[in-house]
Amino acid sequence: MSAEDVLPPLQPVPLPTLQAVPLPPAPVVSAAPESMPPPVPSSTAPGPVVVPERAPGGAAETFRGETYRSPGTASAAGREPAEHGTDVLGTAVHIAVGAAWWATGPLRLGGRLAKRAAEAAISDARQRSRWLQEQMQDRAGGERGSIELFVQALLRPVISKVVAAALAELDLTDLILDNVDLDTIAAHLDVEAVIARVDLDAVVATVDLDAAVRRVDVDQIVSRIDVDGIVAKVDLDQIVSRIDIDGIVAGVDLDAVVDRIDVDGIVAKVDLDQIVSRIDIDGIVAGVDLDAIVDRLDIAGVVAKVDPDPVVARVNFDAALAKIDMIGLAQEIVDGIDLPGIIRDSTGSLASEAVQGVRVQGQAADDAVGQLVGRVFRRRAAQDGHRPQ
Amino acid sequence: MTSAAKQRVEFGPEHRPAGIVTRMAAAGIDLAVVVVLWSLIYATVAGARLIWSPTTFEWPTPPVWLTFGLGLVLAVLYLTASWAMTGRSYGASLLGLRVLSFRRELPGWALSFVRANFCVFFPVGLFWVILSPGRRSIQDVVLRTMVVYDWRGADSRNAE
Repeated sequence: MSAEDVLPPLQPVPLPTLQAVPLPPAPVVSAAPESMPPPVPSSTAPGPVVVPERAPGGAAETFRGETYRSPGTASAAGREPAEHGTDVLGTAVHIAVGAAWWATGPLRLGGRLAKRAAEAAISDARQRSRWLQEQMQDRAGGERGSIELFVQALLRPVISKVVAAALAELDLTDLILDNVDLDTIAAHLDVEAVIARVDLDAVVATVDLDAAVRRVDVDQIVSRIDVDGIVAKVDLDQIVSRIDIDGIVAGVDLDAVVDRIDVDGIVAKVDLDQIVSRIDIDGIVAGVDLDAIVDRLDIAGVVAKVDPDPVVARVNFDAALAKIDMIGLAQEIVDGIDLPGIIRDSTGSLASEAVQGVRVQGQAADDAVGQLVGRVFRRRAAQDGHRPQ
Repeated sequence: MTSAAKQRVEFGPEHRPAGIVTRMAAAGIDLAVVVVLWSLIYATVAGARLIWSPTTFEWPTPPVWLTFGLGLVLAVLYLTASWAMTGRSYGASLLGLRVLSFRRELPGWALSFVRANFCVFFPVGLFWVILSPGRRSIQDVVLRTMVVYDWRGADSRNAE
């Protein structure tokens, strides 16, 4: 039975990212993380070196919020024998392996710290020595695998501890601010690429715009705006000259607009008396060419449409006649016409007609008497009333 | 007077001798005119007497002979003046009659006066018109006068 068969496979442990420690006169601090060997998961990698927080049940360990369950401890708890169906021997082996693993914890921790310290030292030395960089690069191909495994197994825990202690003692912010040329870094940053990587839609989707808008004091913002100044700078004439008013009006459905207007409501709100009192009716009438208007009117047509009976029925003739000087009017009429002449002509005409009738009838009577006498005396008709000789 | 008697009258087909009916009607109207004239004279006399002596005023009561005599005189004067001046009295004018001499002229004053007396004092001679073929009265036969219709031409002339 080999160790690999007995020991449970090690889980990859995320190591804390090493922070770059700018040591003067190192010019570029950002290169440090690149030179740092990344944590490589390995079967030989030890478990978490930081003192884990033990879960209440004791079956899980947490490191920086992540929970790691140790198979050994899990089996050592012995709470799920029925589930796994293991026998007593297997359980004992697991308990032994777990105890061994736990007992070797300080050793493994020391190894990892040493590995980390060595890595940091090597990295620092490599940055400081060009020769060393070349040597390391040349030897990296053949010896890299074994060295890295060794370093990771032994020095990483040590390095991690050292770095943790160093970070606890150092104020990285002050160090960065004092020694890092942020402007230069910013100049080298490809801001556009960064922005291009940002999923603005997702960012915006997470923003509670309603809450943001509710926090905005619009009144205060508006009160700070100098509207008069803004309007004074605006060339309204130029803006208006650019507007295609004809096109806008042509596109407007005036019928629909008019249908929506509550004309009755608008008129009901209008104080017509006040409007009429302001109108200079005398001035308006003085400017009107009434003669031209009257010439245009079809008075005959208007009069033909008027029903005079209701109008006449409403006229108070008594009051109208009371205002008229009938005597004076009659006197003027009589003076203006030849009334005696009219009476004379009319009566003369009537008398003439009557007299003519009498004459005709008398002549007829004479003829009748003459014919009668002629029959009596058997005279010829021609002898009666013939022409005088 | 002579010039008036010699005034000729244009004759036409309408100037036929008048019959008894129209001549009697004209005579009746002339009688009424005479009565009116007599009444006017009577009223004038009565008014004069009223003005002269209002306190003793009484309606005049002329005797019968004076009444008829004055009436006859008025009739003769009225007819004489009418026939001599126009050839027609008021009654003859209304009925469209005219008195002409045998020369078809207006009768003169003398002829008119004689004919007026003849007609006033012998009115029965008018009825000879009925029997006369030429519709002439006894006065017309004796005095050679005629009475004709003369109103159609007169109207047309008046119209002109």
